Amino acid sequence: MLELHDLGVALDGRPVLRGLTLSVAAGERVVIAGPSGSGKSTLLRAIAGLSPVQSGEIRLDGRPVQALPPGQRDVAMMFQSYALFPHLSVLENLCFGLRARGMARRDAEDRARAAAHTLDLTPLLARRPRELSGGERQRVALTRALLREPKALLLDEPLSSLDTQLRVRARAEILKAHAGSRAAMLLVTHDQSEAMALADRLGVLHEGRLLQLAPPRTVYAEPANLFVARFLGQPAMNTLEVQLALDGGLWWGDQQLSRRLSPAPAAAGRRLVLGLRPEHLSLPGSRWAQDDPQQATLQATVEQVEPLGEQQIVWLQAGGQRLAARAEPELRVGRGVSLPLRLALGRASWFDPDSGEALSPVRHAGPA
Amino acid sequence: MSASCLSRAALALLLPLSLAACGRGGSSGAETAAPAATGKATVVKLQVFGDTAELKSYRELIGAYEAAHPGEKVELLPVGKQADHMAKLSTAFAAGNPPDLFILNFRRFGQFAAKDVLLPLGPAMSASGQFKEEEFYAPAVEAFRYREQLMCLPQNVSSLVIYYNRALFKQYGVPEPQPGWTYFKDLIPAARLLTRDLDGDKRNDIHGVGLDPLLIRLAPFIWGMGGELVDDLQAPSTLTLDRGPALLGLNAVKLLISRYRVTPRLIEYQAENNDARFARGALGMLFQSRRYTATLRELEGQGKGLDWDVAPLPRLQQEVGVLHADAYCMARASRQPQAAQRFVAYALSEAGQSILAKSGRTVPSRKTVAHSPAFLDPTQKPAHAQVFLDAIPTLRRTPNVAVWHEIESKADVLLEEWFYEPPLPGESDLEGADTVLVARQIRDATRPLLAEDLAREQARKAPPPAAGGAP
Amino acid sequence: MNRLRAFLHHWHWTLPGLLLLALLLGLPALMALPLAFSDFDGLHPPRAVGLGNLAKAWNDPLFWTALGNSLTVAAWSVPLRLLLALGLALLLHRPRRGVGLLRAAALAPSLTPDIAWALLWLWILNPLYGPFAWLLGAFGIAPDIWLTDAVAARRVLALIGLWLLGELVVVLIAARKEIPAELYDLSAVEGASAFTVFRRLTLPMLLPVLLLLACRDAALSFQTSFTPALIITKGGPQFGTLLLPLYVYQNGFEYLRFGYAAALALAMFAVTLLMIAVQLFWLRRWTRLGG
Repeated sequence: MLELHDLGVALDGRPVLRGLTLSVAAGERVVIAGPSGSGKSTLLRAIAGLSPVQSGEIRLDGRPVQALPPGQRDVAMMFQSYALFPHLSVLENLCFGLRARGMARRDAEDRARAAAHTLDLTPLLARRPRELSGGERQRVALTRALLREPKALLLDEPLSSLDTQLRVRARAEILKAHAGSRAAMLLVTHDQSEAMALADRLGVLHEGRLLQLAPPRTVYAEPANLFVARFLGQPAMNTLEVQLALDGGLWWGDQQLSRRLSPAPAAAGRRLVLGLRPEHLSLPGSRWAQDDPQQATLQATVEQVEPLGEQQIVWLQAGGQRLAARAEPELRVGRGVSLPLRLALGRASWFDPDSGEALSPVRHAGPA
Repeated sequence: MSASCLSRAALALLLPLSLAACGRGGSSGAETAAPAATGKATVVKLQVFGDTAELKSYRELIGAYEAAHPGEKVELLPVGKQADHMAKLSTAFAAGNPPDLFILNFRRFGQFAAKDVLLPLGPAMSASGQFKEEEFYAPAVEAFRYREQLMCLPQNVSSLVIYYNRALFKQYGVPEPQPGWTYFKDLIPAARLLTRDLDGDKRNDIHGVGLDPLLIRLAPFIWGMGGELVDDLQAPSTLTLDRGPALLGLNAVKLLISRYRVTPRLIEYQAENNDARFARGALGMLFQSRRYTATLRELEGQGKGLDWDVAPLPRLQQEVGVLHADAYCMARASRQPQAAQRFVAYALSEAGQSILAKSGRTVPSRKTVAHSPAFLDPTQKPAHAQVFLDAIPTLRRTPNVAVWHEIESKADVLLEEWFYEPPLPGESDLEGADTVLVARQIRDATRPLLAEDLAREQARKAPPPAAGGAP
Repeated sequence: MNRLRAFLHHWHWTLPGLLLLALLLGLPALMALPLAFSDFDGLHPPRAVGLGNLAKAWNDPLFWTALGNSLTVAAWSVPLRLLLALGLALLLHRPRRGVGLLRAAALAPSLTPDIAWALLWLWILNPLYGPFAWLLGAFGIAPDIWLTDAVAARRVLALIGLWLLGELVVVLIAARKEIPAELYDLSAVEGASAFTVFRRLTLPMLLPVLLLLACRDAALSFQTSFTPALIITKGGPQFGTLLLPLYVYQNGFEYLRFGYAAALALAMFAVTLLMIAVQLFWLRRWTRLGG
């Protein structure tokens, strides 16, 4: 069990993490996603003891560790570059931590061989890192991190140096390796699909603050604010600045999208930001059109079509704004065609235009 | 494009150098360049060594010459130390571009004389009446004779004397050296009286006498006891320091440190050499040549002068001194031998010799100048400058074989060690077992050099027609 | 043509430097080669003597003394200098306050003309007035030991050579900075002690560079020890600091035995090559084993 309470970290006098509170249960996988510069790596380094902590507390199984040197915290870390010693063989790399802690060579090697077996590293044990592929290196680093059976496992962008092809497989390897472990796993990444795929719970970090922490589905479906909404999803969520009329009608500029919304997301007369994922916009004739009691229609012109194989993204132009819609690959869409676009307002997210916070009652699984 | 450009540049860089290299290989040294009678004003190059004061007097000499002989030009190539002077000279010869004139010390003279690269100045200038041998001191002239030819013309005739600190002698009531004084009965007792530990730290603050343990300094002791340096001055085949009388001479010197302890120990010698120690006023007597006078005069100029004078070398069994002399030499390869000889003639004239004599550094080789006030200036120290002149008839010299300098440097290493080492354990200092040992070491270390030299000399003489064949 | 262009593309930055080197060092060295097989005093034309000079060197006890001395001085000064440079580099590689000044101080002796620092050492080593004498005295050692004892004199020479470690420090600092920081982070997280980090990480990662520097330094130490041997110990006592380059210099420029000096230099060159070959052999082995 890894617990962070009100953690504050500054580098060179510049605050990087502010008031961060988070807990990861034993065996749980928490993924922190965020754009570069959001403080993800610093978070891991602070937990590992590589960056000094200014305020707050870090506990491992209830024991405060923030005053301990890295080697005494019982955490393991897997670095973005994997940090394999180039002059040591795979076996020696695996044994490094155990040997550094004084375990006899024979015992350490036995344990390393056993662990290597799980991730099919046995034939590689005598090789040196430069003789390994990227995926093999990642597996070695992962095995090494878990070999010591640490209380917490910290992974810093573990897949970023792999080819796209390899990533999906590597994600599975991580899940497989961690499956039998009691370590609280905290992984940081800038890649949202990696985040969604690996997380029991997903947190979004922005400018040193944790904006939302919840199961990935929840974070996707009910983003806590506009930043989270736009950060997750590919293409990003469509956002329209709209206004609720006094009669309950929803207006986007001079177009009325809906006569009446129930329940109303906010008080009448307010300005709002309407957020709709691309799958919530449907083209006429699409089998992917969603049943929604609160359908609205908007006349839009097809600007561009991106066939992606398993789906297509259709870029449309309406009221001077670009919108993205998702459709099945078979649907025929002509460029320049004007068509009635259907919006599933019942699944929309609503945000305050000034603060960016979500308005609809979202289930916010914040600090426990 | 850039390739050809670069390679062309490389070629352009390489070409002059390789040509120069070829040229160097082709015309090295020994060829006699025909004197080019250009008629135009030529520049005679003169390479000398010496400190700033010495170089200043050379410049003065050249200035006076050029003033007296309009149209003549002499360029001075000054070098600080003798070793560098020799290195520069030898490389200049190797490059086929030696200076017209240069100064050679008589101990280095053999190196060049044997190689036949010097134009014998004696015959040339005697024939033209520019040089009359009898006007110069014979020991200096003889030192530069090589195979019956007078190669170089002596510029000075210095010798080893005793410099002594008169103030110390007066302070401790020691009688000043008198003409005819002796080593054992006069110098050593004086040195013992002068040696003082002033602050009671069991370390002498004033030492009686200083002597650099070099072969050239020890030579008069060896001769003074009736010994010899080599078996044959003209064609030496071995050093003879290990023969009876020579050993006695060496041992007499060693007693200064081993028995009487009147000279600085090694640590003191290394910390401050004898010249500096005497100049500081912490040495009663010093064995040195004429050059040291200029140093002491310079100190006077800085207000740090001593009350000092010179005395003749003390007698052992025979009265003998060791020659120190430098001479003007001329390269065979000189393009303007006539102009060069005109300058030498002036430098050796009364006017020229007087200019250098005034620097205090040299004892003039021309008799009339040596006896003139330019040298015996009564207003200048040393008061007994006559000592240098009185010593001249007793002067002896080292052989002028080509390897002499190398022999000295090999011997000096061993001698210095011998001098400062304590006597061998169980041996009395009077028996001098260590002296016998070092004398043999020196003999053995230098014998191959002399043998090589002798062989070369004979090879030169022996094969009459087929000279310059393959080895 | 294409190959030439590729060659030039790779080499055009170093080519001017290499050319200059070839001109100023390579060519004269090449020209000295035939000299080694001839009798040349600079005054007469060279006379071919075949292997005579080398045979003479073989029978010249002073040559063997000088060679032994040079090797001894190198054997002392090269490892010590590397060790000291490594220590300094590890102390100074991190940017900290005042580190720039210290780095400059470490480099300064290498930038000073060797004659200048040799003269400075002459004062430091003065057996009566120098600080070194005082230091030796404090340890109960005779302050003039280096003047009387050949072994001590060689150690003093090696000691003086230690100060020429500036370039080594610079190269090692650069090499140390090349080691990825994450390896150190990982070691910290894995609980490795400072000693383990040095032994298992820093040292093996620096080893190829260290070996390369050792090669260079061994070759160079033949030359850098020349000035102090000439100025400070003057080859003595008992020929104890008569180093090979000093003996070459004496033969060439003092005794005018250019041919013999060239032969000695050739022998020195051969010994240097041999030393480098041995070290390169080890370097190869290590790099094949290591990263």
